[in-house]
Amino acid sequence: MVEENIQIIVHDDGRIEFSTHDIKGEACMDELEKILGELVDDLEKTKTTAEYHEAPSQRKTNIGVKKQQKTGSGSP
Amino acid sequence: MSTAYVQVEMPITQIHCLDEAIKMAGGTWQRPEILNQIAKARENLVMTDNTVNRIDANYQLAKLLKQLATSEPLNSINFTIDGINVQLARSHGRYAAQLSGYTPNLSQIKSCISKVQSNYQVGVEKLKESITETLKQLEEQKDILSSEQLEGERTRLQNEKLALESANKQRVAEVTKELEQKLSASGFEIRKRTIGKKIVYQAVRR
Repeated sequence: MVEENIQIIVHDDGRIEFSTHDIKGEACMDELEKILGELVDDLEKTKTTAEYHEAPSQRKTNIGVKKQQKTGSGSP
Repeated sequence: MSTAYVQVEMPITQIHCLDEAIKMAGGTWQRPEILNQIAKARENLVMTDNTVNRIDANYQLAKLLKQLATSEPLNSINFTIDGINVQLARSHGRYAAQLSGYTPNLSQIKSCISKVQSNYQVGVEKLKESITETLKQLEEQKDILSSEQLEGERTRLQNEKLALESANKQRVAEVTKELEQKLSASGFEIRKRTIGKKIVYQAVRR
């Protein structure tokens, strides 16, 4: 079964961190914009990975925990 | 993995730290009266010349900090740096500018916000360190200071922390509420955990 995963971390100072798994391409950005667009100020700095460019039809089953990539070092 | 994002910059939630950040950037704004009173109380504390006055000054400042922590947040803030006017509005527990490609002086406004944002983060970190350090010093001096002195200093520091954390707590409460609503509305099942001071959501949609 194909699963779409989002992990969101809310820090005690109000910062937000997230990563998505198996949500592809523009659908991914649309989803994030819908969920987080009003909560953060610089969503456009989001880092995308190679998987972002895969077509949704190429989705594979999420088979485990994948290492989270970060765009900065702001996480304490 | 498709996408990852870390909000590196601390969202602006507290007006007393924002006030310092604007000042450091050479800006001005219409400060609320409570901030003037806190500034005066801080000066008084520094100027105290005996124990009795210091205890009083500590309690006076503590009272004002508590008042700040429990007061209704401002809905908007206007400040001016180098002739550039910046308007921040309170949204989801933080102060942010509503900018678009049509905003006049967009690059200057962004530059002003960036300066203030950076000062704000430095100021908050310094204040946190200062509170921790002073609490540590107090602990070391607890056999030298009288119980009244200790109580006065601790009360002030606790309210410094309260003022620092209450706005952040509001931000976290507003963000988590919104996130939960939006994730559910988008068909995600949510698992929520608290790890240390972080709230972690694991959302899955099948």
